[in-house]
Amino acid sequence: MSILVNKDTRVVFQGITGKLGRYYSQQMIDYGTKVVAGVTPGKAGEIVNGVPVYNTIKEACKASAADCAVLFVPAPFTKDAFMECIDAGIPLVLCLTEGVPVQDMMIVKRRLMGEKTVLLGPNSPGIVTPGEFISGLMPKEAFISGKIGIVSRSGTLTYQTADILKQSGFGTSTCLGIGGDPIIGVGFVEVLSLFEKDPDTELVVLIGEIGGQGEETAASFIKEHMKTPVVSFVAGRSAPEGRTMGHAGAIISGGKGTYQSKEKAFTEAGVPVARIITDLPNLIRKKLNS
Amino acid sequence: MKLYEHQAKVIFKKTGIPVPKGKVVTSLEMVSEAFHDVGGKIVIKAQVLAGGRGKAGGIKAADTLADAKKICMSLLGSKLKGLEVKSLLFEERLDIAREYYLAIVNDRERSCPLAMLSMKGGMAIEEVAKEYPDQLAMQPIDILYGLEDYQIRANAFHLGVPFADLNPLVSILKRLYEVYRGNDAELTEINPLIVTQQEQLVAGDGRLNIDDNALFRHPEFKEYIEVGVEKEFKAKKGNAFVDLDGDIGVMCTGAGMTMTMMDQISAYGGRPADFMDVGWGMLEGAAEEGIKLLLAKGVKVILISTYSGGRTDIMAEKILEGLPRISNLNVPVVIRLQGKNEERAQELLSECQLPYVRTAETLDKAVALAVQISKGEVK
Repeated sequence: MSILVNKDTRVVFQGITGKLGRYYSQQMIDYGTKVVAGVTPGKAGEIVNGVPVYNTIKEACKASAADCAVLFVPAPFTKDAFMECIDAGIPLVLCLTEGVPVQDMMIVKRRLMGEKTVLLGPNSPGIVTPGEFISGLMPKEAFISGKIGIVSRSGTLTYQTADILKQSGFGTSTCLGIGGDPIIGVGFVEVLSLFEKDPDTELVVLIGEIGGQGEETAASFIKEHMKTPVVSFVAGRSAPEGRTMGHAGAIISGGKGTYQSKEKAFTEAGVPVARIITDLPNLIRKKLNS
Repeated sequence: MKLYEHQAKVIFKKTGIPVPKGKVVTSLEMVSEAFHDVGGKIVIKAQVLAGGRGKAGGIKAADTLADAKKICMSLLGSKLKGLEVKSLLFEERLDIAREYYLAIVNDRERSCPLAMLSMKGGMAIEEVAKEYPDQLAMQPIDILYGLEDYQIRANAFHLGVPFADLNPLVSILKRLYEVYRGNDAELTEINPLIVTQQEQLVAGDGRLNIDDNALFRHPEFKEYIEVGVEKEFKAKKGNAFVDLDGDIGVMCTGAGMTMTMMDQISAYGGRPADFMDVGWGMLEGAAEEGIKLLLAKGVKVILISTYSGGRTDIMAEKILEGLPRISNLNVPVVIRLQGKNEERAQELLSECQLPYVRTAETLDKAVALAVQISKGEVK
């Protein structure tokens, strides 16, 4: 078992005719993921990597029965792509695009109210169920099948974590990045509740970073609603306060979203926090044996 | 990007928010004309992107031209809160009866804009939130409908705003929301909004921070972008650079990975010299620019370390191509590249003959090696 994606997930790939789109859709196909349609406006009728291309998401879904959209669309057009997917009623949308304006995302979140579409991203590295489904930037080298769920706010740390676990013999059930932007689709809480319901996920590794309140909210959810054990790592322990470290997610301001506040919240929820990322396997072993 | 007070006020004025009469001064030659244009009693305000300018001595009153000249000589080119004062704003001095705080900000948790209103104008908002939480009204805004009059009124009544101020306050806060939406702001703030003895409401200060990701919609802000190391690095395909004071030059892809590398360095007893997220630029030769930047800063070792979903074989090619072109490269370069196509990347690195290149297979080995080099324990 797994969450959100598996071997039966059927993907429509938006932006498949671009350079990155061609490369990453081929990576998915090589892995065995079912990429059943592509979309690029004005390129209907073309075939890319053996996949038929359509003008609109609706046409593609109708022809291919896709239930997951992967978006490789430049930031200025991402809001439009989201709207198109929500309108087509696609159950799952993955978006890798970095640099989507915050106010665009506010409008998208408003549009999502009452809809069944689950949005992962923007600025998500993708989602992997090892041996069944790969997407986004996820390098297949990092993943083996197993019983640990990984959810991360940072892209690169998603696969770094999977690799550290793999070196210690731990495989993953599903591994996903929710994206590091200030406003995103699904957050930690939604993903944790899916892992909680998945009988094959024995433990969840949560990778957070400084800034925002997502980790604190996750900690209180874990405390109140989860039986599945969770261990965590929070990036930015050594970051000086008041400086923006890269993307907007990692801003600390006014004493909120600091490393200390996140560490405290997790500790109080019974979630061990790794001081350095390479300590994770030890924490997992301890937790599983306790 | 953050706009200076005088730039924010130009936009306020265009949107119908009253601002004091003002003139920007960037050199001593401009003082006399600006002083007479603004007329009479003025305040001179140092234009730096930092709060608490008044307390730091960046805001001064002048009654005569001689005063104004003296103040300009001491302020222009000086450092205020660590920032160089490149320009001053001459403004008419207002007789203050009372002050408000007004702002529209991004509310991450609720995924919507948030209006904030307080009668404690002139104080730092963090302080108001801490000391007088019941005197700070917050109104989440539905981005589809915008900010409604009644919402502002309800909050104003709750705070006890005098009736005479009610309508002008509603009008100004709604216009501030227009500024926020129309310019893709992350934050816009009037602190204080001054009510003069003559019962006029005027923006005493102005902050406007624009969402960098939305600049494609606002070419008018291009002229406001200032040059600097961080900006230059961005222009050369890097993602983000923050100068720190250690001696291990850090270069990574992804903000989370870069912070993790800094955390690991600190845990191993080393000191990171920077935060450098090269991002996708790593596939286009931005590493070369990044190394030059680190060398100019002066570091004992450079650590290039990532686990990437981008093609690490191409990253290795670009790095190895770029290194020999850097003539002043005189420190060891520790490289760890894991992720997509890592086997090929590691092959390329192991074939490399450059004497200063050290390779490591994993995150912890790479960091341990860089820390040892920085302490002179190994070469």
